[in-house]
Amino acid sequence: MNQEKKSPRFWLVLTLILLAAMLAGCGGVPINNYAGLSEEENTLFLANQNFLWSINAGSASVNWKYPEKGDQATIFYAPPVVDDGWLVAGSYQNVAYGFELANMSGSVANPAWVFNAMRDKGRMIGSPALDEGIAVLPSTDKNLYALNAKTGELLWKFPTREALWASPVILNGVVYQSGLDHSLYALELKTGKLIWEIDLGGPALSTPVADPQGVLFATTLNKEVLAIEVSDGSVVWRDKLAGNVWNAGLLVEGKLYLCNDANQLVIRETTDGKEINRITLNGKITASPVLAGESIVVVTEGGEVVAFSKDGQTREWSGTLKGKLYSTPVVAGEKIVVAPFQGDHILTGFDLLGRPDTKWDSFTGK
Amino acid sequence: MWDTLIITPFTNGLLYIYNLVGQNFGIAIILFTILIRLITHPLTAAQIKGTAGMQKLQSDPRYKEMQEKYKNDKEKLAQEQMALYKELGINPFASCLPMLIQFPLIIGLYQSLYKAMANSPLEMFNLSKALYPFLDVANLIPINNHFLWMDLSQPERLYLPFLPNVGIPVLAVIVVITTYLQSKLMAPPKTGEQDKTAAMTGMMNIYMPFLMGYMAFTLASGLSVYFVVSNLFSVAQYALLGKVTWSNLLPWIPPVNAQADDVKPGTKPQGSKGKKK
Repeated sequence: MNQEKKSPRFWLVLTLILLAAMLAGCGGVPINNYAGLSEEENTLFLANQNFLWSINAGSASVNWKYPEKGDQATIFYAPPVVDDGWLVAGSYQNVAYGFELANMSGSVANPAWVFNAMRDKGRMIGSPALDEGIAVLPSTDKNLYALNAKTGELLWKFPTREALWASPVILNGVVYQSGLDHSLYALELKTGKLIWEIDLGGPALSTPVADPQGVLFATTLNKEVLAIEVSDGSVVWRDKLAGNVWNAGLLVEGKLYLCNDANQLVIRETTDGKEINRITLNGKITASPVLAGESIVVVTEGGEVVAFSKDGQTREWSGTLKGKLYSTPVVAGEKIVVAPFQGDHILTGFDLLGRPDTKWDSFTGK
Repeated sequence: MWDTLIITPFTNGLLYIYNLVGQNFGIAIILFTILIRLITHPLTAAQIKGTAGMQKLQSDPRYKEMQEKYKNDKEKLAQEQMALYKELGINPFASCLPMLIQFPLIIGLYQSLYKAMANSPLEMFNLSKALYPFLDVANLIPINNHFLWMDLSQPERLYLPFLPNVGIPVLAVIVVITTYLQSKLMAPPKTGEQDKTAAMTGMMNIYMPFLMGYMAFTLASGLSVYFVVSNLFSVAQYALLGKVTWSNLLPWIPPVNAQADDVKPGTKPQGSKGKKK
């Protein structure tokens, strides 16, 4: 019996169908991001892919994780926040979770409450802020949510014009929230009532920082930094930057430390914005600088960890890791912990003199 | 290399058009698709010619004689076939080339769509690094992902007020229909000599729409918009070249035998190097 010979076109189409099936099988909407780290009372909290982790900062051993089995239906990247014994975390499915830390037992945590803010209609990219028993969560669904931190009950919701990526800042009963709609909002913490709103002149991804003198420092993707009087939203000073700032700045002893994607650590006076020092490193920087002991520690996309003196004049120590360092490090007592992206380890630790702390290498994230 | 040659140019092209049309991502995808199809039109035209040539060849008496004569000697058959292709000026792979080009374009567009609609800080940061100097991230962010009822970064579903919990995959259905229409209208008219090939093509014409529909169901709706526009553009291309087989879809229209532009049975095309009979 003669067999029909298949044409080259047939085999090519069949191959393409199989490849297309593979492409569709990879399907869904992938989310790629770096881990979020936070610290409270010598406990490290990690939000990475499908899990939240609580890790003892002294021993690097896992206290608990949530959920027991990860799946694509729940993704965490925003650093969780702890206040008054309660931990609140937001997910990329637009769902918030509250955990009562004193009631944790066993290796798998169970949330005391879950708040569904229009599931899958937005993402909670920025960390929440907690104060006075109220958790304030920004969402890319263009709403700022305020919940009872102990029950998850919705207290108020404030609509904005565009997605909210930055975390809110709470100061003296007022919430300050910047957004991609170029606005900085000041709202009453208890009621969500708008106090004032100003135009920052550009979309804001990074979280503002506030100093005790009542000045807020915000940056925009227009490569600008603004100092704003919290009482009325008036701009005290503003200045251009060489690159965009992707995370919050650091305030130490009257100085503002900003890292940008032009590979720079820039130090400015908070009073008038005058630049004190500018240091160029070997890679772009998305993370915030942190204060570790008496040093300012900066991490770069190139995997570099560098510690400077507070005036930026002295490079005290440095190290290079495999992987990219996008996440803001945390300082837990005498330890600095970083989360390399696509590195050899999920977490890597140093002491305050830059010596590696290898016990973090054993954390597998599973 | 893939990023430099495909993803980054596609992303910047999309975002440039996005800015030009008043920051509407749906319109940008439509225009970008048309642009890509126009650029690849010469390949498509070559495919049409190649396909027509192959169809004609299969009814050539010399071809059938060769098939019968060498049915037990595949190597000799292949040699004789290649000699005949050469004599008649037919490239058997010409009909495959556009598909080979299209598939990396689809993958490239899929990846550049996700890159442009950055959904996390890292993706936003990577997008900002990929922008060419004429694009400024401050003027692009936030990307307006919404087009008609769709969020282009998510699989499309239409929720009706009286059925709030049931998402209707309207775009996936449109993709299935347009892919089927395209396959039917671009298939050669059926003749007795081509029944076996037509049977094979018919199977593919059923599998392909459902596969494309499944992709539209699961992937970001921006890609589905590309599929629909691409399918409609293909039909328009074929219509302009006079190659649409309306009788496959509208049975009351009498079929027209497919005529190769440059090949008649038993003769060589003009300009080829074969021997004259």
